[in-house]
Amino acid sequence: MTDSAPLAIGESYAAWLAGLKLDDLSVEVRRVATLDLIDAAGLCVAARAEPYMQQVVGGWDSDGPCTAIGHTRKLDAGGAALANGIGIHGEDFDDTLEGAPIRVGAMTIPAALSVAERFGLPGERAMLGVVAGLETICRLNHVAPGAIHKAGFHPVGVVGAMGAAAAAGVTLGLDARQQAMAFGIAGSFASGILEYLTEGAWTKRLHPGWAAQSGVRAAVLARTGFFAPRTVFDGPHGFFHAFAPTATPDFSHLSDGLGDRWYAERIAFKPYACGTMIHPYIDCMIRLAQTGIDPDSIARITCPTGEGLVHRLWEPLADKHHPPSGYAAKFSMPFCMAVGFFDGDAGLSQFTDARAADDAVLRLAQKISYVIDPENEYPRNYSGHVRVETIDGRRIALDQPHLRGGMREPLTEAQIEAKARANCLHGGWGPARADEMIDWLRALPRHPNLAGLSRFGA
Amino acid sequence: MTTVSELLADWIAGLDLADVPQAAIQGCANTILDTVGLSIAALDTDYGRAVRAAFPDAGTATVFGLPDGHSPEAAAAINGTCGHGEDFDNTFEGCPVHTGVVIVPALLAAAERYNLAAADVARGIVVGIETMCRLGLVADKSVHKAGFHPTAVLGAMSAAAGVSAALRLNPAQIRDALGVAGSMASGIIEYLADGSSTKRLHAGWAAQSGMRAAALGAAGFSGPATVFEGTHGFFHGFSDPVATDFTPLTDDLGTRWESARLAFKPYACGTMTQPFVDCAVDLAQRGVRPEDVASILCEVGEGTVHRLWAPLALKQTPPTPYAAKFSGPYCVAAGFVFGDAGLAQFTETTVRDARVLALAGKVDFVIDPDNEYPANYTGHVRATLKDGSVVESRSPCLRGGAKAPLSRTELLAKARANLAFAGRDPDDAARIAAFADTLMAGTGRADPKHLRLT
Repeated sequence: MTDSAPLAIGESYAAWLAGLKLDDLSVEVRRVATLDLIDAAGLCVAARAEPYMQQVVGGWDSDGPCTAIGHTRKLDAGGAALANGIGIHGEDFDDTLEGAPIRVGAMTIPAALSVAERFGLPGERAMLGVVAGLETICRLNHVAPGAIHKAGFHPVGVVGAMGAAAAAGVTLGLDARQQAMAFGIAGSFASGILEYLTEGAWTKRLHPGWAAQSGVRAAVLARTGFFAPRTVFDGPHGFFHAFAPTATPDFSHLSDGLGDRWYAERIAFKPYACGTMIHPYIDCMIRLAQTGIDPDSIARITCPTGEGLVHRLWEPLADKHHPPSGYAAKFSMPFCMAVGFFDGDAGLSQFTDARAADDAVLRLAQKISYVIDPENEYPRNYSGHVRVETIDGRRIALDQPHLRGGMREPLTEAQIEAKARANCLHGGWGPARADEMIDWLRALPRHPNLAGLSRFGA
Repeated sequence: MTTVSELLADWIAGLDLADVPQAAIQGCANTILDTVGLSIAALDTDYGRAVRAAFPDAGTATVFGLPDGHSPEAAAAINGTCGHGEDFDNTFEGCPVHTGVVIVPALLAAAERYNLAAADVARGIVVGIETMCRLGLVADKSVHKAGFHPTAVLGAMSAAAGVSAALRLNPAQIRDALGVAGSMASGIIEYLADGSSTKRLHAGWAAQSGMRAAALGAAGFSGPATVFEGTHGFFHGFSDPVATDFTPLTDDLGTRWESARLAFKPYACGTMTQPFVDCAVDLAQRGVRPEDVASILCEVGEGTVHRLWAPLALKQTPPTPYAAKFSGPYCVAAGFVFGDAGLAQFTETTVRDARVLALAGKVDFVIDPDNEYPANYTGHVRATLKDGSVVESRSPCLRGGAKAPLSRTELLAKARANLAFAGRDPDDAARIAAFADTLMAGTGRADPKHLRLT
């Protein structure tokens, strides 16, 4: 039946993945993947003592040979994928993609590493799997931009399961048919609703980890010959029908320029531990503080903003002025701007529950509101715009034209390594240990297997 | 203001097994018997072998009918996938959710994982099945319309509820477990395109997701309290149009028991095809011979067309035994030719049987705008014979459902036939029934190891 039918989009894309070799990768995509590994591993260490990590690692049922970075307990492949995915994304400090915003490494890197560790595969396969996963997320998230969110689903969860299936499948060396089936299975595992937005519940943190373990399960199951829909992407009841019903999917993103153009080269690294689109506004506020202005002299701050940011980062405004927890504060534009003003930074230590309840910060946050600017370039570009009015009638305008850490002003390798070292330190690791991990990750394609990863448990 | 999941959590936390009426207990026990027999029957199918190979981790939990222990999630995933594999498992009139293949695997795996008392496991099974039926009433047809599989997405929520009940979590923990399960619920319906096996997988995946969610809720991992009704909640994501009336879920908890009116399938095919098979069997028993039939027309409910009747040419020649289960024309023809539609009528041989395919090619359908689906599942076959005469049969309801339930004797016979089809000892059906009745009576420790049937 399927032999005579034209290839479904998932089949042709799977065929490309199945033939991927290290030599096919651009120098830049390899560089970005390596930096993303370093960034991700540092974040796992940073989150290791957080209650949700203790719960996830301690509460998982199945022991095994795989490493949850920063944790002593060894887990099965699904458990390690879950824990590392949650660890990477837990503080919202992990990578992002400009143009079609989504996290990239948190779902895919854990899937590739845990499968390689579980099945004794060489570092070269893991590296290929990481790149395959990153590229799949970036391409897939361009197919129906905005529509997944609109349907009530978290792209990190649903696109993530597909990307993780690519990462795990390529690491395992699935053939074209098996990889297509892995996508077909992952389509049935893909999950993640957005209701965490209401009260800052932790399920947002869960999504990349659940996606990673779903991708691992899907790839391992596909290897056994399990029969799944080859038309998972483009079929009448398929992935986009369910998760993006208002979109007309543009599948050219899964077929054009494969191997020539690497979407993953555009992955951005975050300088601040909060929602990506907030960063340019924080930059403005840090510059505002550097003028020496007294916060009590400020009457109000109005921020021209892209409409797409409003429902996540600005509204309901009264709630955003009083985030109920350090975690919810990461998605409050007013809080992040205010804490950036006072602390000159928005790293992990700015998002504790105590800081989220700080009087001076909240007083400034309450003066901050927004106005929708129809000309704002979001989501093609993330910019920041701050219009200050002082009590005595002065006006100050500050703008940040783009995301620092993104394409227009990437973080340097040294900055990303420094971020990883700082994150390791936050998690209680000394610099020597952090450097050892960074060096091991830089050498990933040359490791005969991933046995060395277990040194970075605990 | 109390949220929907908080209302549900309060009921779950306060439920006493002694307050559950006997009809619901009996429905749950029958579900265990039916589910376990079906799971065992599918162990050595291609998908059964595949899912077993993909969940290789050893542990203390039981895969029904296998001697060795598995990890709890592996057992839940394998038992659920195998149990649903032939679409012969229980269902529910009002919204076709398959409760047994999600709830029984989840709760029995949890029983072994946490070494639970039978009374707690029985509570969990009642809660899981009752929650799933009620969620089905909230969802009606909207989940399918949104592109999702009700058994899969409602199953994850209900398995989380059931395992939470068995673990005797407090209301806040149950609320978190349900919130987390909302983020794990998954299952698209693209299997409809080619009869692939992901539909089977959904039951097992939902079972293990529910276990994971309950474990996270127990540990204090927070989930949204507004998971069901919130602006970005479960029904916003999984239903179209968005379901907003939660009274079928939250009203009369403890007095109205949906689990007392579960449906068990007499035939190994899609639920809505079953009354049509009864009609075909009826005509055959009245002496109508397949070769005398010129054409057959079936009046059907509109909501069943895209799953069972269209595209007609494909449904008349289903490519696989599994696809045949969801083909109205094939099921009618098989009922006519074989006089039954059990596991033996859905094999690689029967889907190529010339007599069946010849007759299936003569079956057409017409939408009856007055058809009661989904409130009631009816069947109709009108055969025009080559001599020009017309014979007709109607089934007023689903046999095995609330209006014409299968007896325990009939369910035992079904389990025996399923076990025998798989080359197992049919007398094991009585052992499974004894286990089910003991468990649901709530005495002693739950010990699913009995279901290894060694």
